[in-house]
Amino acid sequence: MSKREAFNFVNKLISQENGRALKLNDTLIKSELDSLGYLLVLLGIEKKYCILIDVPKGEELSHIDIEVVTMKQLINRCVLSKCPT
Amino acid sequence: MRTVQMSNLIVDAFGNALEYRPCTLEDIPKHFSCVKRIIEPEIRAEYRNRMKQAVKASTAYCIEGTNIFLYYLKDDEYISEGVSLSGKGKPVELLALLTAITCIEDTDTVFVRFFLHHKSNVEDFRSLLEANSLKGQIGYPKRITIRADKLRKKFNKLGLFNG
Repeated sequence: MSKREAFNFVNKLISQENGRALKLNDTLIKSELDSLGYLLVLLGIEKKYCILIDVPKGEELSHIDIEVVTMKQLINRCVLSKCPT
Repeated sequence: MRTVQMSNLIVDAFGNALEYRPCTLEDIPKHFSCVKRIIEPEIRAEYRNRMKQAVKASTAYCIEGTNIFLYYLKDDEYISEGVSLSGKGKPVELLALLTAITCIEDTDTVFVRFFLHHKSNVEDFRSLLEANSLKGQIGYPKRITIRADKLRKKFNKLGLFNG
């Protein structure tokens, strides 16, 4: 799974929720999504990349701080994460 | 006499069960108080009246124990007029309610049209709207459209509801 593929995938999810596409060093908050939009993007990423697999129950939403996490950090998580087969 | 309503369970995006139920007439004062500040004083009575109509038409639902609700009225089988929506800052619960309504309770509605009130912000509903609802119409009340059929497809694709 390439970083480029993950980058395009995340930006596609963001644009589907009417957010602004991000550059590598942008933080997630720059996408200008509403709270439901962030959740839907997170769920879309989780479905493909299982980035929340080791996150304790109840902490899923707070696990990714949209004001701090950059697109680069997010796609690194995507690429490093492994869905159970 | 107090209205008795049956609760139903919906599993949220992270696997927790939430109770949702049709709103009752007794819910209206509490729910109205959540949105009152954005409703212009001259239309508050009419607004509450429309909430009552939605309850009577069984097109109003809430997540039990929260201030997350949606009231709407059906124009016909496929088109609805939104009356009242609350759920800002509680996306997991709001998503669960929207999933319950679009995928279980009302699988026919395609369009839900809303008028945004003067003090509400279109940005708060960004992910629910059609892109063209985010453009144009500088003045208020601004008309916005939610495509319930697209939400339904999205929720199914995300595995939120596999009925």
